[in-house]
Amino acid sequence: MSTEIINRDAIHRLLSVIGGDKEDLLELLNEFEESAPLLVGKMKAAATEANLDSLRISAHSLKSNSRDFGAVTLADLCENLEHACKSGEVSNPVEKVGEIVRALDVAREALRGISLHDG
Amino acid sequence: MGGDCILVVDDDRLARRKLTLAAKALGYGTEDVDGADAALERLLQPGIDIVLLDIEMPEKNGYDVLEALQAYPADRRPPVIVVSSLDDPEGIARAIELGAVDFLPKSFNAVILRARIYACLREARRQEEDRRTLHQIERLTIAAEALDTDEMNPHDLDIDDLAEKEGALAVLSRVLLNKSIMVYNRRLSQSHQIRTLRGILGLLFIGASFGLKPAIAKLSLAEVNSPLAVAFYTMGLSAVFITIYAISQRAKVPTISLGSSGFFLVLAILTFLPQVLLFWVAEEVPGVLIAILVSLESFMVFFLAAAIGLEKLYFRRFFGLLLGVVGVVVLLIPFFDVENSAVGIHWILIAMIIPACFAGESILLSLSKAVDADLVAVIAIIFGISTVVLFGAAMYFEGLVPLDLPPGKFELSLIAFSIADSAAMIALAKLIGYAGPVFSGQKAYTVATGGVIWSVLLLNEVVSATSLIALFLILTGLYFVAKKAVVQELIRRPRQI
Repeated sequence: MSTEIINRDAIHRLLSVIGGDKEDLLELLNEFEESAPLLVGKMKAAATEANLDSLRISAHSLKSNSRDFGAVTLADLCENLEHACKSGEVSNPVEKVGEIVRALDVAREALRGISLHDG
Repeated sequence: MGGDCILVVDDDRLARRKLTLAAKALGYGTEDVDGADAALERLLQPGIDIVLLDIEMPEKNGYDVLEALQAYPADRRPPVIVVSSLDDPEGIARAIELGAVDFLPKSFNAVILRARIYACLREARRQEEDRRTLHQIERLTIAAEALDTDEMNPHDLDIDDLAEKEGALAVLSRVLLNKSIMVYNRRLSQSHQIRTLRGILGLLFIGASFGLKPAIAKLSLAEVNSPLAVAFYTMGLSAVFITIYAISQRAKVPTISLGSSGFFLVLAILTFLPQVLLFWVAEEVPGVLIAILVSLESFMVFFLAAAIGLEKLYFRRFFGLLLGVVGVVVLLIPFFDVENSAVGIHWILIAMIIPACFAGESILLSLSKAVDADLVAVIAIIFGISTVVLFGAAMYFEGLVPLDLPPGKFELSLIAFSIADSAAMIALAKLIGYAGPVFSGQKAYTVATGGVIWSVLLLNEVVSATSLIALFLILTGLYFVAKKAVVQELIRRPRQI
């Protein structure tokens, strides 16, 4: 299941960019584990308040981070929301953030299933 | 890339960490900040070679940073690479318009990152080199303009460091500096030659004028046998001449207080006493001898100055002093033969008081730096005080010698003596002001020589062999004793590469 949700090429590219040290990659992954829920929290608050600018920035950050780890579905959902915020036409933002939360949970679960030491 | 430092600016900790690790993996030093304000504050200080800047940040974003950086000095504006999504071409364009040199997609790979950082650093170095070259050209231009408009010391052009570098601008700097030094040195030499020539002419004039005094004194004034009266007349006339000159030159007059009056009185005594003595001994002592003895002033000045610690006694000067003493001894030898000598030795010794007074006067003048006035005005006042004192002394001891009208030989001699005296004093004051007291101290040569020549020409005196030897010894001694005037040194040319 994890191979479908996570693009392993993205993880390899990230590892290559940071110099090939898997400890560093693990550090980044832990950072993602910590920061992604915080970003989602901000998105929930922004969606409730209909603060599209704040929602856009958080969606933008989560999009970039999830793309680095190959969480394609999550990244696409964030990108869509970001574009919608930019255009100022977001229908039901709370529901869209809810989709992102679910996708994030799936991606985190999938990432936990990937061994960083098996190449 | 060794030593280059990259500043990562991103509000997202994960993105910031990723960029930092990526830059470190390429061998660069890194610093990171989490927002626009922190970035702008950090960039006020040196040490950052390139900036990786995220655009999307809360509050102040990347565009704000780029706008603010435009007001920073050139050396605090490292190249900025914005980190942006490929799907935002308008944002990238805006960032580049605001001064970003390149952009990096969020999902970059190591090869792209390396290439872009390398290209940016190369461009930054080229721009820095251009800035440096431009700055050097500006300095050279300023130096050339300064040379064109002002006769300044080439080292004040502040391009010596440029001339020591390598490259075309350094060659240009060296050429400019060399040529300016050549012109400056030539001008310095010419100025020195002109000053020396003017100084020598001044010395010759002073020698001829002062040297004339013993001859005139002996020719007609001494025979009156009333030295105080003659000194009063000559001093009074000289005071009038010098005062007229001082007024015409609007010379600054010294302020005479109760405290300084003693100083002026002593100076006056040292001025009129040799005058009185000159008229006293002139009847007895040959003019040649007086002229040679008067030249002892320089030795006595040096001796007194060394005694009170104003001058140092080192070998060259000691040798000169010794030669002078030997010269005096040679001069005096014939007069120790009391029975056969035409002039009593006591007259010679009295005559030696004359240069001693002059020496005291010179020392006192050199110590009178507190007197804020023109020297010629000081001399006029001293001559005036001397005249008053001499009038009282003449009236008390001898009475005044009556003067004839129209003026006869005596009266004309008084006028001639006074003109020679006042002209010499004015010339000396001007020479001291122009060439300094050290150079002016060389007047002893010309005064002695002038006195001997005038005595031979006007009094038909014969210069004896001992007098000639003495004159030679004294003048040689003077050469060793005399201080050399400080001459401004020529400038060296810059090192050639």
